Amino acid sequence: MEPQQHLIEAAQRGSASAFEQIIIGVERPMLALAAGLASHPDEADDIYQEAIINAYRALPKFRLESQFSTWLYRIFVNTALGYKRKLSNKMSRGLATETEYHGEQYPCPTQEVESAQLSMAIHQAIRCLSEKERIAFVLCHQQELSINQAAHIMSCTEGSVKSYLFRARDKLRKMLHENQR
Amino acid sequence: MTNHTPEQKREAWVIDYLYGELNDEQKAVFEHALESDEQLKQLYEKHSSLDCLLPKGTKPLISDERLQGVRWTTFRGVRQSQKPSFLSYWNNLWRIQLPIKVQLTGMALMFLVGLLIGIEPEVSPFNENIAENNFSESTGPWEFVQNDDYKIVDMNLDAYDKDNGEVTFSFALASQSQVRGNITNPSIRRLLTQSLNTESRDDVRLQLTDLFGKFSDNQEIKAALIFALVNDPNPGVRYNAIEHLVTLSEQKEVRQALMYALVNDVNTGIRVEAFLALTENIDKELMDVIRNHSVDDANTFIRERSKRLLENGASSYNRGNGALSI
Repeated sequence: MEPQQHLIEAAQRGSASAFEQIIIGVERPMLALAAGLASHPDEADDIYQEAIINAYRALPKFRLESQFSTWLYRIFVNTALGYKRKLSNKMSRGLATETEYHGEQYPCPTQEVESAQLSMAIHQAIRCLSEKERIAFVLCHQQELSINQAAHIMSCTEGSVKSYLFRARDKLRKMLHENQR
Repeated sequence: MTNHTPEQKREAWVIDYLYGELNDEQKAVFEHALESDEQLKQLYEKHSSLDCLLPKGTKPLISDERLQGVRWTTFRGVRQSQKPSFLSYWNNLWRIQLPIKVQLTGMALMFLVGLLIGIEPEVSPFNENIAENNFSESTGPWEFVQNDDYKIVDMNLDAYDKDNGEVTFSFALASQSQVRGNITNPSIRRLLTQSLNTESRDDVRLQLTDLFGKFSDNQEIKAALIFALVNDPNPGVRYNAIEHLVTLSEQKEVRQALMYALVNDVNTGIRVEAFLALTENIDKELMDVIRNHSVDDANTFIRERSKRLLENGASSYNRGNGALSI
């Protein structure tokens, strides 16, 4: 996932085309990350766009010795958190929750008739997690980052990530098993 | 997590095991402990059941259509954020420093000065006898703005006091201008090619790609068409773009865009156009792509044609120029 250094350097000098090439290489996992972090499916695309523009603006400050993907993940997580705060400031969540809810689609392990229901249940269950639990779960479980990387992105200790992850898994397991009954 | 209690230690250990944080030796110790520690076993079984329902690496599904749409709007945002607009620069600068009356007077004066400077008939974009060399360097869209056709848009009341009437607000001035000229005019061409990449209305982008057709060998127009082919969310716009680009399919940057469209575009018509244009001159890179398409492509025509090309390919490969003519 790490882009070529010459592309990063060109993008740091202000080349939008170089930046676009970098982003094309990571856009699908990053959009999936935004979808995982968003409280509501409608927010995912906005978070993605805002995070990418934030990354472009912050790119001149990026140090080449750091890992680009971890830096980008951090921007996405911060953007998602900022987006949520911005929304709650505007008190628009009330409006959004009144509208009909359609969850993100998840691939299901078995191709059964109830797969759509399970997919929605997964999204709703993830949505019920606390902010930190959701971030830890999305980073380690969905994006398959190491606990160390997640701790770096979340600016906390590895122990805290494990704790968030454990609680997230516990809640999800209970909710999903309940849904299956 | 402060691993003080045995329960917390077990939790951390299970997480380490499930997320591959243990080395082989540590794994063996954990697996051995599962046999002797009933509480650890229960905790592990409880947690591993989640992985059956939701295996690691399960991400939300992102469709190609969604990806393409988001890409277009995102890149448009990136390009727009590249430079602060002239208007917003003055808006912000003046709003901070000067009262509104002074701002408006200053704007009017600047406009008059601009008109006086730009009144030279040779550099007018409205001149019908257009020859590329007769035009001076472009000054951007301002060149096409008339002095009396501003509209106030994006009015924002930043702060106001209902009791004493104090108000702070910001706004933008927009101008609806009609321009008659020719696309060979660099100023007009630059404005229109930029619009193809930023305009939000599909019908306008369709018209623009239509207009650009016969001029696609121009560098700016070619770049705009390539951008549209790779990024535009509207299949009609992408189709128009590829229709014009196929005439330049021997050029490296066009080939790369066609290759991208062949591999990534969700629209079959566009992929078929890309395929036909690319296969007029087959190189090694294309052979690799075709090899995949002979098996994987959802479209029967591309699949069958790829197979046939691969069958015939080896015999007519032109080693002299590295290209294969079919």
